[in-house]
Amino acid sequence: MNGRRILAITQKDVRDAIRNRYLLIGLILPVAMSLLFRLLFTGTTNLGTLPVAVYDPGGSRFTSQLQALAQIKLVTVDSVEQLKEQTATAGSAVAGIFVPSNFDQDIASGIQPELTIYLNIKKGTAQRTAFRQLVTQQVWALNPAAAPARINWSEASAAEESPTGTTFRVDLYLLILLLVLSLAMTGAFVVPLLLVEEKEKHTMEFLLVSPATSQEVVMGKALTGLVYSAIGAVAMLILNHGWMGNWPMTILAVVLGALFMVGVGLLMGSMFQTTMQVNTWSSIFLLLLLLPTWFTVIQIPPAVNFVVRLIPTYYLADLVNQSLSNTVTLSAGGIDLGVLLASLILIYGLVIWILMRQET
Amino acid sequence: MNTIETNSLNRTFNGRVAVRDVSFAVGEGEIFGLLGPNGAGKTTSIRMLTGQLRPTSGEARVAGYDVVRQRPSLRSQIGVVFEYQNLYERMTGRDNLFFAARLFGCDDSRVKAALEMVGLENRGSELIRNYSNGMKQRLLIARALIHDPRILFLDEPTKGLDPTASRQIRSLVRELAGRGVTVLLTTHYMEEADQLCRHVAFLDEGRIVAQDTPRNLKVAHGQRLVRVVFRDGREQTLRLDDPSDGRQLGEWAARGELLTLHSAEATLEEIFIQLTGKGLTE
Repeated sequence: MNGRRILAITQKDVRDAIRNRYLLIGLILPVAMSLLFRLLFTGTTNLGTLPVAVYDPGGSRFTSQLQALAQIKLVTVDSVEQLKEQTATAGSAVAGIFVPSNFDQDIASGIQPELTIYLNIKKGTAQRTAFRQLVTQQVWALNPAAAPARINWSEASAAEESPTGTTFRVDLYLLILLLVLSLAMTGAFVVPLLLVEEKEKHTMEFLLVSPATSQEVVMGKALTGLVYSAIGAVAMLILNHGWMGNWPMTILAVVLGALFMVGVGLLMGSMFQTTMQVNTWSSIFLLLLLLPTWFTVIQIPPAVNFVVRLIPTYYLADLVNQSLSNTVTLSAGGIDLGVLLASLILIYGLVIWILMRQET
Repeated sequence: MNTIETNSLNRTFNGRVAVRDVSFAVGEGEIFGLLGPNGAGKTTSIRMLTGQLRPTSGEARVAGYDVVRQRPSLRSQIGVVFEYQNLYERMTGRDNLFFAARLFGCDDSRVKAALEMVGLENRGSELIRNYSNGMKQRLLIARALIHDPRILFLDEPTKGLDPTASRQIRSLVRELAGRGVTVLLTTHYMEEADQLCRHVAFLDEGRIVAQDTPRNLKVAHGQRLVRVVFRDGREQTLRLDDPSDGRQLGEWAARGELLTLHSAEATLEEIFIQLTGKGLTE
């Protein structure tokens, strides 16, 4: 393997994407969708001031932080019952926050205290989502190095329930969906095109009479795919406030996911000979790869659930979900990582096997 | 010394024979032509000699390297101009050459020299999609020569080009051979082979049916004829091997009756038809 030749192929492809409208669409579409969803679901610019009730018997630093925010108008109440009244369907507040009396001391001593937040379901999704983001940001601002407090969105009448009984967050779900979409678009659409176009235009023949070996060509394409994936994923995380929860685990999940999707792309690119074949099959592959992310919100029969678990993106979506919501456990996270790593070995093994068969 | 040597090369595709028992040798600095119609096995032969395709049996050495076992070493010794104009269309001519230079590990300064050699130094910054076919073909030659190879393979180098562009390519090929580069070209334009090649081999259905210098082939398979045009417009063909025809020609010349004399030897195309019973477009 010659690194300079691999890099030359990658540089050529990365630059070429700027002039290739098909590749450009494949790269920009997920980011554009992210922007659109953000405008639709999480737009905060035209929401005005959010009325929020707070019951804080200990007078915490957190409440002071909220008071300083221009987007929130705080109303102080004297009991949890009053909080519930304010956030009942007839109430005026978007949400009510109960801050326990020893909140600041618990954070200082490393104990994660619990914030209980009641959401008013009669308020719009945009207002509630904007409020969620603000609260999450402010909690993290108390101690950026570690999760300082747990947030309990526990009011059953207010919170949206997922089929599994855990609280469903629209913003988190969208981020996972778009992140997987971005990686899958690069893998199932962009990467195979990189290889197939070389075959269609007969430039592959030039590459293979140069000192570059077929393994180096594939490595160069894989690296290009990873560059595109990284750009897409970073854009997605920045646009959707993805630096929350266990972000090193999020990055690891994205890297493994990108490697897996690029592997899928290389496999498709090795098997297919024409752009038309790629266009036809990439849609099917894309649907299959995205399937597990949809079923995080739709209740499905056990048999379908079993099938969905056979698709490695199920484990990618689950790992990203765990890391973003900072709930990674050794057992669940370990299984996700294990399956992703095994899928990588399998898919790259297949790619190498196909390439060796195609050699002359 | 031979730079290309093949010995009983064979290649089959799913039982269908594409190249059968092909043996020939090409000397250093020589232009050698593989001639034949489409499907005769020319491109398959080039693909085997350039290490793109494994022969089913037989062996070949190019620049002293075995084309199967020593492919990595072979690649730095050869340049290939493909039948297709396989350039990166969304890149400029210069960027195509820079990319090739990086793959071959050459200095970037080779790009300028290569563009100058094919007369494209002022068009290097244009996108390939704006190039004419002739310009693309010249750039393909520049790309094949970027690493200064000993041997150049040209697969149908003038196919689809206008006469001016074809002449430019032929002149470039002669110049390269003059500098010691060995050239193996395939073509189905017999005139081109006649003008360029020191040796040619006729390929038909994967087999070599004849190989020699164009001159020797014409002598061996053609008739020594001369066509005479008289001042009064009459025409007559004479046999140079016939003493009486020779005497008659001398008498006409002495009487000043002759306007022009034309050699009427067989062309390579006629010899090919004579040997295979079919034309080059079949």
